Amino acid sequence: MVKTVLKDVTRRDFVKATAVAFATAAAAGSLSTMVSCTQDGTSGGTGVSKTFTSVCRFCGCGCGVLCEVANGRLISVTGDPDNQSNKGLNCVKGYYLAKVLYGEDRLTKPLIRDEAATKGSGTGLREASWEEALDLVAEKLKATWKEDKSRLAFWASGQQPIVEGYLLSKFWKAGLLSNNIDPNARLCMASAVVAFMNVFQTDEPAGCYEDLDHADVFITWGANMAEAHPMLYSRLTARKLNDAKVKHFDLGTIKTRTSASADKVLLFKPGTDNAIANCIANYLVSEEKYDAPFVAAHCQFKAGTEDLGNAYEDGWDGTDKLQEATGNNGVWNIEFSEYAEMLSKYTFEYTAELSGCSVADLKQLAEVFADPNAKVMSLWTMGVNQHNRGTWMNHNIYNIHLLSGKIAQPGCGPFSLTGQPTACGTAREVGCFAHRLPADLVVNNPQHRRYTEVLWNLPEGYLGTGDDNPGISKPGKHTIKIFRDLSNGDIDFLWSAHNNWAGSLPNLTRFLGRNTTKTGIFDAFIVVNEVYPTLSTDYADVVLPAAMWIEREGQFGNAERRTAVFEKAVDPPGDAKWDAWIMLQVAQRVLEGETIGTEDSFDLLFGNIWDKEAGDFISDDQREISKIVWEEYRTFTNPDMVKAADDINNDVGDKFGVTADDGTYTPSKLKMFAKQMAPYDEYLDNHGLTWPVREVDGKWLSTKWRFAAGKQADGYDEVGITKYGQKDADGKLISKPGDIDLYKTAKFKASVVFRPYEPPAEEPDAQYPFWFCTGRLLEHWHTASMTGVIPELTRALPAALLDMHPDDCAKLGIADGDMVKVKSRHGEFEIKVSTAGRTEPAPGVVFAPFFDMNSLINLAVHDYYDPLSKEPDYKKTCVSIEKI
Amino acid sequence: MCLKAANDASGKAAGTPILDVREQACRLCEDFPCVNACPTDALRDIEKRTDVDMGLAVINTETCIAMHGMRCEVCYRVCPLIDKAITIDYRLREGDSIHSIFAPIIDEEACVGCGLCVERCVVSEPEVPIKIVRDRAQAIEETKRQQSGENAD
Repeated sequence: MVKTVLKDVTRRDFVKATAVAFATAAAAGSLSTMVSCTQDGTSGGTGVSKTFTSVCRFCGCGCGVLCEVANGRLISVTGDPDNQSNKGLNCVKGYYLAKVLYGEDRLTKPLIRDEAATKGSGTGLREASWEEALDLVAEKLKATWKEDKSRLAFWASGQQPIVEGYLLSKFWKAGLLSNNIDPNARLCMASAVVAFMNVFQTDEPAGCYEDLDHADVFITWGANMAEAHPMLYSRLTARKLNDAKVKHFDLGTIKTRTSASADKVLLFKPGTDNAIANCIANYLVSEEKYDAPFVAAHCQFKAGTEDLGNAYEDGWDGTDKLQEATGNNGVWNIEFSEYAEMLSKYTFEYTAELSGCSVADLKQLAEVFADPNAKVMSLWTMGVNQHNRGTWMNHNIYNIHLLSGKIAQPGCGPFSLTGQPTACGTAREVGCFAHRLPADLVVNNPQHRRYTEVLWNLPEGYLGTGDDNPGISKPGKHTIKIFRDLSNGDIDFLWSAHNNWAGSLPNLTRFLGRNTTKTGIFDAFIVVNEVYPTLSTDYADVVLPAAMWIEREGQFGNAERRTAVFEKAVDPPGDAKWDAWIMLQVAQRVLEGETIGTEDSFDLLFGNIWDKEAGDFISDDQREISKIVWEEYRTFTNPDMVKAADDINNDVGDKFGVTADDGTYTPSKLKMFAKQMAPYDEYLDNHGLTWPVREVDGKWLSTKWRFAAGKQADGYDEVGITKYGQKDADGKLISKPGDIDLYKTAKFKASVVFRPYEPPAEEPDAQYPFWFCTGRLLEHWHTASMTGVIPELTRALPAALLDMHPDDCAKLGIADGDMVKVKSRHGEFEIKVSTAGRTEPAPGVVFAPFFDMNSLINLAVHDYYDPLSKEPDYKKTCVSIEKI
Repeated sequence: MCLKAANDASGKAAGTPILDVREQACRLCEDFPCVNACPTDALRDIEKRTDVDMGLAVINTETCIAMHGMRCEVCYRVCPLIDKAITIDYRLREGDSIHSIFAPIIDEEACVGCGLCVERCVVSEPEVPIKIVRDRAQAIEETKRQQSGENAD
């Protein structure tokens, strides 16, 4: 496509338009009138243009934006004042969003690598036709699938729009009967997910962003919200400005820009956060300062397998200990008194000694939870999730909120932040995980498989019935397993989309086949869907150029369960295509001649949207295709739309429940309405809605506070509680407005599971004396494959720096600005040191961000992962530092 | 590395070391290699960072996007004297009770005028909203005018 440059809008016009916008903002006190910068330094506001509603492409905040398009080109992006998440506010990434489409090296043609030896060299790819590229990909996938399907894998993403993720999940799980599909969300949210399922039997938080407007106390746990969640931190700060009594405790292993505005900073020794949370719990329990009526009504107590070890060896998942920990016997019921006994070790003195925090600070923090009137909001992301005991730390945060009854009320509750725009909406909600199916269903549950079979029109038992017919009844390979296997030569076909694994995975020295005998990456056939060249495309055998962001219609689901649509606003450049088109082209080829039952496999799965003879969608209108797919996906959470599915949902026919010794049968009810989704147009009309979305008097209404009794129109979970809530002997609901009802759990009780402190996978020694913590900074997002093409952001933050404590620098003879080599047991990289203090690590801790592919820090980061979530710990690799 | 020679057009004697801070600011190197390297002793009396006096940063509050609610504050985070020379004034956003403005503020005592904030500022049009004013009194005057709502330009 020829790029059109707007000639009729001059720089002077832009200045004028901006100035006018500022003036309007000041004069009218408007909520958002700021014209953001444009992709080419010009602006619309004049001439013929059209505005589309959209969502920012980057982080998990999910800020609404408006996209102004003229002559087929995006000319400006402005914060959407009608989106209640951000009311028109953006961060600097969102401000320059228009430029993200127009980087110079957009991928516009399929590329093929003829010589595998050129992988990683920056050369070796040649242009190809779509026909040649698709035929090659399909041939390789089909060959691996027929030969040994344990040797293929898809690496999906928390940036893949919902419809695309759903189609992918269906193709992989039903079309290929493979569970070897896992998302990059494994690297960021898996620990949160496992804890959600363990504690509440449903994924994603009960609260919402609005809690930020009402809390009395904020606690950030290992989360640099000021940089990683800019808009939400602006909201948190506004709450503090509105009420001087509001306090913020920041807990972490480094001081960050978040610490800079906190009222109290508790720096703890890496990994000891589990002890700190248990210390708070111990105080509440031993001093009887917990919320006894709440605990009696809403909590059950459990303990689980301990002393789990770490994933030093590839076969670790299969050890007896791990099998027990992750199996049905990994958790058992205990009495409250036993829980109290288990906690008793975590006195203030013991915890202070272990963590390095003072007794006084720990007491002050514990008192927050002991105050029955304080509305407390805990917020966390990667410090808690990327943790060798990350699932446990998620548990421990829930434990203290449950003991104190501080949950699922406005301004009060634990809130798990996400890092990607649709980690919730896609990876988690449509099931692009090795163990999941759409809508919280899992592959190893017969009732869940049967429910899915019905909605996908599959014959009974097609997804597996047991050992004789495993189908997809056994979870596939998780992310680290996929890449460890790849490096060992045990994966022959790998496909990825919407991620940059060659930059974002840990232990890249191993996974990229550098300085190691594990060089499987050079032998496997690798396909990468991408929009710009990345380190991953440099290892790809085929690169498929994809439509980016608003070059197609898409849907994101953010951290507060908000689903929002971004409209297709412009065409993709050159031959770049919608990922859904790419995937179905391959699916049509791979499934050719295959049958499910007596039907053609491809037509059965995708015949409602794809015309096989034409080799294309049944319509050019992506809105129409998206709606068809959405309506199909929506049946998962609206079982009444398909009677056969509703029967399974309600266990009609007594097939999935439990029969007691006396012959009484307890049915197994799936409660699929608990995640109810609305019709597609509702999301467009309302600028996004938070699920469960309920139809009340002909209107579709969001739920802001799940499990909270109150009126649906006010954002409470009235419909859910009415349908599934706990009732007394007369059939009347027990909960009153202001109460909660944890109706998704089997006994209406959340699980408080005792989870102890266990040390990190590595600890500093003479050879590797520093903890190395990694993370994100405000200007760049993830591996900067998108933000890196925006010149303003690269100007703002051109390179990663290693933040060190000045005392550590003095000891090593390192000055601010010196280049150093950072070396771990796993690999090494070079980077410039900073003592300026953007982040201020404690002595013995160093920090660097992971966006800079010229300082590839993940070469040194270990790939040891949480035993329960399989999420790697990016925060605690031990390293040496040497001036070069 | 940071300094370049003035040319005839700069108004200074040709060859005088000058900084074009938008291009390359002073890094405030701990050991000041430029002082040691200077053959004429023109750069002198600098032992620590706070001895440097190259001017004072002034923010144009009209064109600075942080002042309008964008979460930017690039100048603050890159400042070698972060939380000293540039601090953040957290303010409620006008007409919006749930979001705040993170306004970067120059400390006239602490800022030494290195210009890294100017080098890294994301805004170029109509001009970079942060600049180094060599004369401190003039800089303070300009800042005061900005804060009282007048446009210095």
